[in-house]
Amino acid sequence: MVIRKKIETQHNKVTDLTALVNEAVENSGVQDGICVVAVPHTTAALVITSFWDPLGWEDLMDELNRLIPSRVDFKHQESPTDASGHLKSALTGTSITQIIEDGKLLLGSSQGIYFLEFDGPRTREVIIKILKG
Amino acid sequence: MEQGIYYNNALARQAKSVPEYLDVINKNIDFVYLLNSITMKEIMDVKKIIITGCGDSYAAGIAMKPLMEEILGLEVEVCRAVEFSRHYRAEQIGDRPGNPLVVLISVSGTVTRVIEAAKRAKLHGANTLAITNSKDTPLAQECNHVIELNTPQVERAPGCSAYVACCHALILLCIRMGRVLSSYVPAMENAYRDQAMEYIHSYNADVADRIAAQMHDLADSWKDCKSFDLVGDGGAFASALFGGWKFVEAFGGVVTFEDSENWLHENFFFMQPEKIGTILYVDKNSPSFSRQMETAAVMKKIGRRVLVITDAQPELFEAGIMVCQIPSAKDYRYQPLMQHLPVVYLAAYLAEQLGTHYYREGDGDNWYEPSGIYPIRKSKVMVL
Repeated sequence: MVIRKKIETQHNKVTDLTALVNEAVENSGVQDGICVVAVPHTTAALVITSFWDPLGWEDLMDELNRLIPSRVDFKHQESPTDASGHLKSALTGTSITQIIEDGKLLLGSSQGIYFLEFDGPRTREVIIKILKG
Repeated sequence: MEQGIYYNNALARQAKSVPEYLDVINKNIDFVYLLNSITMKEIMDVKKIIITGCGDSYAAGIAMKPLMEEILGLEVEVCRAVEFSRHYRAEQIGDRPGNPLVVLISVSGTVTRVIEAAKRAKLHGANTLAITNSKDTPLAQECNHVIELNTPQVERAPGCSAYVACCHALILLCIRMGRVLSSYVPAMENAYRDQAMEYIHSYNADVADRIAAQMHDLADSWKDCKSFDLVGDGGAFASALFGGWKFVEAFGGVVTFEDSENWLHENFFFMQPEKIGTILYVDKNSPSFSRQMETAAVMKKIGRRVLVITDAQPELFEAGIMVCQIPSAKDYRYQPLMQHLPVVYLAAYLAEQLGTHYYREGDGDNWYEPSGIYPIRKSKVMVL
């Protein structure tokens, strides 16, 4: 079963998806299995990182921007944020896979699931697939 | 072939075909085309846009200036070609690398003064972009970049669809620039284009037929007017200019133009008001709507023959004022794309009534040299 959810993002900001994914897992009734979360976008990414301090999420975006700044001299000329967003997305990744045990995601004590927006604000989609076994 | 008495002339047929014509233009100037039209770096260098042209091309700049400024958040200046090429100070033309972006409009790309303006812009370090029919025109050859209209062929008549094409090209250019500058959220990129096409298509066959019928009847009662006075504010001032120039081109009418405020200061005093066909554009969401309404009332009071072209309810206007109701755009700044069409129809039918020829071809020898070259394409070039 594939679950599709829409989220509204802000430019260069992080959106917490942990509760949304946890809810999908609980509703599925699957006790043991795999949960795949994916985003069908090329200027966005999914990561697992610490949920304790929102400033840490800003560090994440700042470092990605430092490594791949929005510049005008990309060969892809749609816009600086779009061109750099493609690279950030490709290097960061657009899906994660987590283990389900006893009906819950097996996340670490500090781990959360986060959507990274590189070219918003936009309406984005999150796709969740839960597999039993 | 159009049926009925309303489409027995080339200008009226052209007016009705504008939506289909613009479908071709919109398809020609698509997302990929615009991606290659000007680089991100050049867009980022732009602090001001200067639009210049002659006649209808100049009017296109005035028409779209408010919308462009709204989308881009940049200053857009519009000036006549002779002002730019002979009277602007050099500092206004190039004050830093890649700035301003000078957009030069000429569908034919052969107007001497506009080509001269392009040469001057380049001399003083401005970046230049031509909106013209093809990259092979003399204007395109003088400019750093070009947006090609590739206009479909139309019957010989005063230009109407090409004017709308130039306006639309300006909108598409600023959408492209705004994307790079992050002037709007990404979702609006397609929305701005769609809004323009939606408004253009709101003048569908039924609307066109209604307007044509109304203007056909009006032409019968206005054929004895000595002159015509057209009034509009903001982008609608361009609709006044453009519409009036269609009167000139179609039947050689004498026309004057003003905005609503200046009309009350000056044109108010014309003699024989009953002989002046007066056209006022009233946009219900315009910031100067209240002044436009005041002006309409005064026009009627002093005895003018008044036609109001408006998206407001006709009941708002006094008895005796003829109202031509036009579609309303979600953002009033799109309305100058099409709000001139009633006047184009009126020009077409007045030309029929008066028995004159478009562009005076066949009306006598005053206007053309034996060689047939228009004076606009033969002029001394001075690059100051």
